[in-house]
Amino acid sequence: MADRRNLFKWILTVTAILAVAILIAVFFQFRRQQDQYVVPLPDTATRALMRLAQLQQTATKDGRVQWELDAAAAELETGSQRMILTAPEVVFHTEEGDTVHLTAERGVLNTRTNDMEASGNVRVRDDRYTLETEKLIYRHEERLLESDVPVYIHGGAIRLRADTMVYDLNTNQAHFDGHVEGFLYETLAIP
Amino acid sequence: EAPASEATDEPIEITADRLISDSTARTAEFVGNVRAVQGQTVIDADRLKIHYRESGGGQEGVDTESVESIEATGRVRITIDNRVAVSDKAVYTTIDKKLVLTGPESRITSGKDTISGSRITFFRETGQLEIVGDDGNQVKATIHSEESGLN
Repeated sequence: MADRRNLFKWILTVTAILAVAILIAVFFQFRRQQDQYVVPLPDTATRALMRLAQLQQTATKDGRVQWELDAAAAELETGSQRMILTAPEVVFHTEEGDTVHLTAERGVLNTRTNDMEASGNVRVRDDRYTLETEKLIYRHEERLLESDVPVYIHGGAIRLRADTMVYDLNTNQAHFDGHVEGFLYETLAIP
Repeated sequence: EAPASEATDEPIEITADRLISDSTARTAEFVGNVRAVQGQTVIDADRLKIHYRESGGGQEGVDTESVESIEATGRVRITIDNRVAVSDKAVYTTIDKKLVLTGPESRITSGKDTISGSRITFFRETGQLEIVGDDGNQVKATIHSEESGLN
């Protein structure tokens, strides 16, 4: 009787060992398969933390709106504070309550400093002038719009071009530098 | 040579080193090697400041503001046909079409004829010319009989 019990115990032990061995083998087999077949993450996912179809953002200071941003699409780059904007439209509010409208094909918003870059068919419009250029930078702290490539201004009685421009939203003054050329629509004839 | 009336339809062509536009003050100031040309009229100066007024349409469907006055300062030289006006400052006001030259060296030269004073005013509507002197700078004129005169 004792022999039969020992035999049964021995069989049980061997079965248990075999079961554990099989389990371990299956586990390692599954892990090896996992390593071979890595699910490819979409390209944007590896670069962008977040992709938004329609972005709206407002910047305020002391309770006053400084600018409002709309963009057709936005991508927040992984590990950086750069948000890549498609077809951005920005309305800047000046100290005197005027508005300056900016549109462009592309833009980049620094989410920490609120500085912006706009490029491609950049147009800046206030109640008197429209300015066109290919590249423009907005410095949020100083509230300056700057362009270091040729700019073209029209509106009011003036049509002009210049090499560079700095527009101060605080003082509502624009400085155009370098080869300022253009036309003024007014009569100047003298007897 | 384009007659004066036709010339006035042309825009003023301006070149300069710099432009400062102030939307609040409604001014646009050209700075550095400034030259403004319209037909037979040429203004050269160190600075040329344009003052706008709100209402009133300009030419070519330009929107609701137009030029109120143009102020040239610093080595001002105005060439009109064959006459040359020189002064420290010149202000042209569009409402009355008047050009006023001021400064001790204000002078107009036409051929060999010259007239100078501390204040010279052109009245475009009437074609009149008014020259005023002051204590240290009386009106002086040099007119050669065969010349056509200054205006």
